[in-house]
Amino acid sequence: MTKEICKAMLWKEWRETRWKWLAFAFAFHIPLGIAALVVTLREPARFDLYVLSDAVAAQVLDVTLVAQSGFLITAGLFLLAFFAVGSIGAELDNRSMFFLFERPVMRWHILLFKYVVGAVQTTMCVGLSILSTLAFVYFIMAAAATNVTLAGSWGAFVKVASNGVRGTVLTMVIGLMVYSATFLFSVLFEKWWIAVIAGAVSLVGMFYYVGGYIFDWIISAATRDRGGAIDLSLYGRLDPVPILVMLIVSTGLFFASQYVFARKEMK
Amino acid sequence: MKRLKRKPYLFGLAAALVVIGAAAVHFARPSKAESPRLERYLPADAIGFVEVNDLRAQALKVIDSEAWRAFTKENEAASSLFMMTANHTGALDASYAVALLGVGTTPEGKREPQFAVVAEFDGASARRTFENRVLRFAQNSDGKSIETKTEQYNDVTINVITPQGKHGFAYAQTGDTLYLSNASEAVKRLLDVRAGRLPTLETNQTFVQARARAKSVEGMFGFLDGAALTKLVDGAGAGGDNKGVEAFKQFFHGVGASSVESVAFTSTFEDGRVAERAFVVAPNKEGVLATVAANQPTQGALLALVPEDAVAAFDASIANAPQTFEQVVSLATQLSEQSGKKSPSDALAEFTEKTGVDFRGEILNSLGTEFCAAQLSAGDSPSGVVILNLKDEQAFTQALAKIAASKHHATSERDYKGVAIQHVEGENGHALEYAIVGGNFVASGKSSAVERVIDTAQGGGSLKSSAAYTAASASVVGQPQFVYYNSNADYLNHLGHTLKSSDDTFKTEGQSASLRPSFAYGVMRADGFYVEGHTPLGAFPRLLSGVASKLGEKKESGAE
Repeated sequence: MTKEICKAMLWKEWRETRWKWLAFAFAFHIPLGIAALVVTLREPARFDLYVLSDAVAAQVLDVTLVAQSGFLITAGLFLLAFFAVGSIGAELDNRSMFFLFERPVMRWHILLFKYVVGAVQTTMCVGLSILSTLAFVYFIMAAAATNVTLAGSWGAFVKVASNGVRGTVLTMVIGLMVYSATFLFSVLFEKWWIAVIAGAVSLVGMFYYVGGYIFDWIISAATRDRGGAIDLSLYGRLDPVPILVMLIVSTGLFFASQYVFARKEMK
Repeated sequence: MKRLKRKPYLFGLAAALVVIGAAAVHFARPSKAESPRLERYLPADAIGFVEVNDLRAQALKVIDSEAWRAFTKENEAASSLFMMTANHTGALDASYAVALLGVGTTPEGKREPQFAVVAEFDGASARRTFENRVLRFAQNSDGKSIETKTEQYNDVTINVITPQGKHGFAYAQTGDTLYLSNASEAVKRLLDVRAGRLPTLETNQTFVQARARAKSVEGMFGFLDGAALTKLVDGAGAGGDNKGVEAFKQFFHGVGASSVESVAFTSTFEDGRVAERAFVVAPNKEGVLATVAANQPTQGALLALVPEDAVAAFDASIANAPQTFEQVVSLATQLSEQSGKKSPSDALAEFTEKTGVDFRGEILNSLGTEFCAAQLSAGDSPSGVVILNLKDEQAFTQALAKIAASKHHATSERDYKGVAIQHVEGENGHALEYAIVGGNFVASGKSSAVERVIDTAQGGGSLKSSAAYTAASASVVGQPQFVYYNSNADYLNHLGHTLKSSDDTFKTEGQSASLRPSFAYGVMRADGFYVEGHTPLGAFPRLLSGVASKLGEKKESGAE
């Protein structure tokens, strides 16, 4: 496979998914959208924003980080499954995939490019949504609140954003694992809705067995027995073992996808 | 159509324009609370009322004020949470008027004043929030059983709430307006005004003139109808044998209150602080009011003796003090004769007998034209000083010496920079120090205060010549009868005290900020008396504190 073919494959994947990816990026900011809508339309909410001070703005950033993390590991994973489910199955269903088979590329190359582009897009959305949400909330508070000053609140923002970066690593790895699983379903089932159901069932199963643990780890530990305050220390502790396990699972799922794809009968 | 379908962004653009247009209409339309004119809901014969226009707008102005910004720097979290609490009480989205409508007769036959609260809400949602939170709290606040009755008055339902063992209240709502009163008859009158069956206060010419005089009615506005008040006082206790009421009537007329046509009061934000103005319209002044009105304006000469770093100072003309005193004594004597109590003349004679001092001749007649009281330091040990301009210092000091001798208080004298300071021992470890400085009597409980006045008189920087006082007094129009100055050095600590409740952690000491000084003055005009004051926040913190603490507690108690 030549360099030109690689570039062409990447370009093709990007062209095909760029609008979907943009919509996906917006969908990952749904909590921010809801908050923006409330602040825009409800005067009491605007008043609350207006009266913020540096100390309370720091608390708002803490809450934002935990809330966005909570969204990512719940509704966000379903969104991710919906994004990943159309990776292969839809192209097989409408037979556009066969165009690629007539090109001088191997079958596993096609799957590799699709997986890599999709994985980069989803993990970027998942990871960056934490930082972009924090940045947007901070910008709005600094711009709208009379008593929030850059000098007084920048330190708090940097602290929360630093914790957010660590949270980003964790949510990106979780996202990659869910993406890989759904990608496999997309290879297995040509009908996209079967893959959606399979993805949803898998996610529900995952939440049933480990959801409580994940939620407790991300949300409860940050808020339990804090008297309303948020403790971000757990964001500062990046345990390499679960991250490594999830990366290994993701890799395994990718190879499983390759295995299924290589042996898939396509007419 | 096909071409349009190929250009989805055109649909997006159209949709965005519709959304922006709807939002523009939503935000451009003034809310009902922003333009209330609540007087149109009050009867023409109302005695008076105070209204607060659009409480949310006032709260936002408080937040924008220089004092609140400085206060927030010291109380970051507490100040934000205080405002949020006030915000979520549901009471901010409205304009309120508290009115005295007159005197009515209760079902038990007792005469009592009828008060009413009229609230114009921003919308049905705001009104319901208020009703749910405030009225239900009021009904259940003491946990006792209540009796609730409803009464149909034309097409409006009046709710009468009577808690066990307590005076009840009645309320009704029409549209987004809520009427609440301690008497259901008062609510009916308000509903009659609303329905056009009774004339509104807007048709009262006295009110119309008072409103026209008010520079701005954006914040608070108050009005008192002098003629209606006089009528109310004159009609009180009619037919009864109540000496107290009769004495009050005499007092009311004697002080000249019956000659007041109206009082208008405004409180509004200007340049990041609150300007309060009151105008007492009394073109034909009578009694004590006429004597006080004839006072010469103050020259402010005593302010030249107050050190420039004084925390607060009040300076007033007392040129007519002897005449005013005689009028008050005469009035009090009349009242005491009726009630059979000791008259002021008897008390004065007793004073002369005990001290050997003729109060009128030796003290009152030796006073000059000006009086000044000042606070020289802030914090835990403020030192106050009184400065009196004297006409006859010898007679005045002799009178003081006689009083000290009659009470057997030890006296001593010391010299400070060529000025003799008299020390009079008092009771419970207290003492009085005084000196005559440039023909003025200077007295304080703290020796350092008298010494600082002497320093100022001998060339130290005075308040009158200070840049802060000059800037603060620049707004004075006319020759004032009194002036009040406050450096606001202690303002943030006082604000902390005002707002502090058990839940808040406002600082009440150790806060300092360079706020602009407060200043107030009063001038006599041909048709009345005008008072103007500029302070950091006026009465608004107290108002918001009332809303946040009272209604905030209700929410916690789960009254909703």
